[in-house]
Amino acid sequence: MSAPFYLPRKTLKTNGDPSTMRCIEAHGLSKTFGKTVALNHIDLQVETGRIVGLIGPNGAGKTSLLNAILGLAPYEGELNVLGFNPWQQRARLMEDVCFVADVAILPRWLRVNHSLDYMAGIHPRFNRTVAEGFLAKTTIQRRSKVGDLSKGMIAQLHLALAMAIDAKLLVLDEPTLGLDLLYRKQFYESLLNDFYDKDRTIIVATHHIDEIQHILTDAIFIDGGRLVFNQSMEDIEAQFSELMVSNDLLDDARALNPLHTRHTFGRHLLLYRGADPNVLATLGDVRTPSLSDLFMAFVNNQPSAQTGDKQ
Amino acid sequence: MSLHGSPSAAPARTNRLQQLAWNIRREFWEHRSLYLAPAVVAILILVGYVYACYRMHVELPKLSTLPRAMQAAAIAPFYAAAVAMMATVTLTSLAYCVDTLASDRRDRSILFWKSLPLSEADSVLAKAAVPLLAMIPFESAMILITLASMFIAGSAFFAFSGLGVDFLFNAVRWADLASLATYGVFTATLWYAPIYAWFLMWSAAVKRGAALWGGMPLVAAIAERVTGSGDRVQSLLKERLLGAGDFAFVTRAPAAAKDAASKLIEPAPLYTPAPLKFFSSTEFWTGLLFAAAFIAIAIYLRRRQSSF
Repeated sequence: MSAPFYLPRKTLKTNGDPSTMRCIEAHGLSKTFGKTVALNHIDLQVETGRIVGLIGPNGAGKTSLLNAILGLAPYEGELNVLGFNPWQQRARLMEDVCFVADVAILPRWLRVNHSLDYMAGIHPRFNRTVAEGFLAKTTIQRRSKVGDLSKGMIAQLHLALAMAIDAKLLVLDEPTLGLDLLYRKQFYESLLNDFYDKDRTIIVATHHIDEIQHILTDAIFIDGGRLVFNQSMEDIEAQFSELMVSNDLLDDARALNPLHTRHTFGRHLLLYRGADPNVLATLGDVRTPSLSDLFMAFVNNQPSAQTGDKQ
Repeated sequence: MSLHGSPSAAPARTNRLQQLAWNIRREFWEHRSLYLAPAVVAILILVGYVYACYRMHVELPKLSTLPRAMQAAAIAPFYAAAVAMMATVTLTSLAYCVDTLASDRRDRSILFWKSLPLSEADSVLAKAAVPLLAMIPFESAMILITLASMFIAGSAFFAFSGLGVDFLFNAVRWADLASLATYGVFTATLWYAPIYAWFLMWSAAVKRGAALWGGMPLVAAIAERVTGSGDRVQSLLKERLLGAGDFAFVTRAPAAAKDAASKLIEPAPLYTPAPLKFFSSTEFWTGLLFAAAFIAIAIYLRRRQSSF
């Protein structure tokens, strides 16, 4: 089993093995805009080879955190990404980092062939053959301008450019925004099949939690500038249970100290951490909660203090 | 399995000059007016010149006894064309400076550019290099091509008019004209450097209305004139906008015309390049210092822009 994505700071050590090297390490990371606190003393460690979902409501601090990681904005606190200070060494860092924001950021005047020429000209880790191979699977014409492509095609082009970069860290900020379900699925399949391996790290910020759950190794919930949830998917499966219980057994279920309770379709859903599944099974149907269930519980209820979050 | 295999530790570093060249090239992809506008003006000049040649053909019999006037009439369009081309490229470059940094932010493509291994200094300097560096050979070439086209068209016309193919050849000192144009482009570009950099700075500062903000000195000059509160801004602007020739050239009036008819068409004043005067002037170096300061501010602003 691979190293946990998140551990208390004092237990974090690297042993030189690339599979457990830290890709990102932040201590006391803060960012404010006037009186608004975007990031509030965040401590974060991401190990190499993980696929991390960064999930939060609008204005939670996702983009601020990604901007700090990418060196796009100054911050307070300590931050180390792939051994670089992002704010001071952004240009060097970006040789090893690939960043894909939503599809609207490719310049509309850019021609497809020019984008390949340009990337090959300025990016030391760009492999044109890989990008050409990726585009060959699409219907994108080389002479087309980005502005003439559909949203799905723009996403394919951007992904082709991103995949062709031999990057150690891929940061995706709502990469499938505005795309239909088919393109979204293709996007993440390509990501897994063509990019990911154990030496690469991926951070995905998205609202489509359920669509990416199956590809993640770790999940982070951010709210109000704080990390309110930090778990590997293995830990989620091992520690969290969701019980569906009828009205007559609700009091018994509540006696087991659920983290969160919600009512749906005449049944009650109770979320537990560390509860014995065998005990829960005597009260109703037990399953591993989805990320969206956890998100509802942790973010809506602001329960970071009561959940024993590791931060 | 990754398409690349495992990430390699040490990629071949991209040469900075190569990056600069690619960044300049991409500016020309984006801002096609940089070469289209001068090309259109060059075509218009050529068409206008052919028409003028036709008109001159009609008038030539009247001028045939006035070689001095004919010479002046033959040379003048070449000077005028060179000046028109320079003005066009200057205006196009100014429009480019106003738009280039702001447009990256307007369409959010700044996020794409910032996702690349380029520092803000790399990006802004490449943009500054377009009017200050790349446009010099382009502008010089455009002027020379335009003048050469005029020369060929004019020679053909004069050959048919009976003046002979060598009329224009004798009237236009081609080497002088070419060196004058090239030198003029070079010095004018350097002279206007603080203006280009000023608009680049405003383009970095605001998403929209960079031209308005950049035009504030003009408003200040007008206000100064209206209120009668001195002429400091006015004279500063006048010197920077119109003063390049005063520093880059020594001008002398042509020898006095001996016949009355020659005075009807005065040849353009004769310009002699004065590089020593230009490059030793305080005004030139002060301008460059301001240009450097404005570009530095543009880099700073671009780096600090995190709220997209």
